[in-house]
Amino acid sequence: MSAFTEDEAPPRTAGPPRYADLEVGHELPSLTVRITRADLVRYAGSSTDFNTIHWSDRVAHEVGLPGVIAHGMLTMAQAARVVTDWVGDPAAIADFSVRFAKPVLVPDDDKGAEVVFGGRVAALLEDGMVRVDLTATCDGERVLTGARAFVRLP
Amino acid sequence: MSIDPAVVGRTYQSQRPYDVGREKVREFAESIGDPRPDYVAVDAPAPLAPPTFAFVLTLDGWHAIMADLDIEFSRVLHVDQRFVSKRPIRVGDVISGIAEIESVRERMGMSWLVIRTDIRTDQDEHVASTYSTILVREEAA
Repeated sequence: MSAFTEDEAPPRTAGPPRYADLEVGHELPSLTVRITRADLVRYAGSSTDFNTIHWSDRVAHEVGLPGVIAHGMLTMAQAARVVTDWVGDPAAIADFSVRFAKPVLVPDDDKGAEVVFGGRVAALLEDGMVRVDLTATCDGERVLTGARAFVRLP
Repeated sequence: MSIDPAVVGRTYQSQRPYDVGREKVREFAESIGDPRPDYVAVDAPAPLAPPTFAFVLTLDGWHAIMADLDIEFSRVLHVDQRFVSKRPIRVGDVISGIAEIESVRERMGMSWLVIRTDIRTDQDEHVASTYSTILVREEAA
């Protein structure tokens, strides 16, 4: 890890979870993320998703949205972090699904939008597989529903 | 707008193989605010791509479908998304996607499409499948 600066090091917790130690209901550490217009521009470039509704208020209004909204896939990627930060191994995620229940509106200011992510162990399955149910909330409303990841643990 | 259900079953192959590059994976990881060493380590021979990176290939298929069915991207809303991974995508993989329209239905004056994308390497290894539901909002009256 010495090759990395402090900023880049992954969050350190009590060590990776082990299947045998887990119980249904176990809460994963939550994650709070702030999303600004600059983040949307950056994600548009990295993902090649240049849909105009993620950067133009004019077009967003034309198609009936209240304003520019975040890429659902950016919210999904951030939700995945709740799992990968906890497990410590991104390869452990075998199946990951979400429903985009409500768009995340990102105002054109320095504050942007704040999304809070959480997760809990919902089921212990066979062969070390665990189902984690995830939540994502913006302004007190759920922006993802049915968000779940199947994760293989040691 | 309404979409002819006869398009169900149409498939769309990537125009060209996608070469998963180290800097692209780093750029993606940084853009989601998660530059963990698994993704960005400069001394790793083949860093992992983040779990949702496969969407780059999914989007390729969407673009082919939108062009084929004359759908404007700004009218598309993403309803749900699922990734089923056999193994993570890694730097050095050469991958391509084949997208298939699995279903089309009309509801509330809008078209709902389910699109599956199978992602394979140039060694014909199936690494992941993605499932997307999108809806196409109607034109303003």
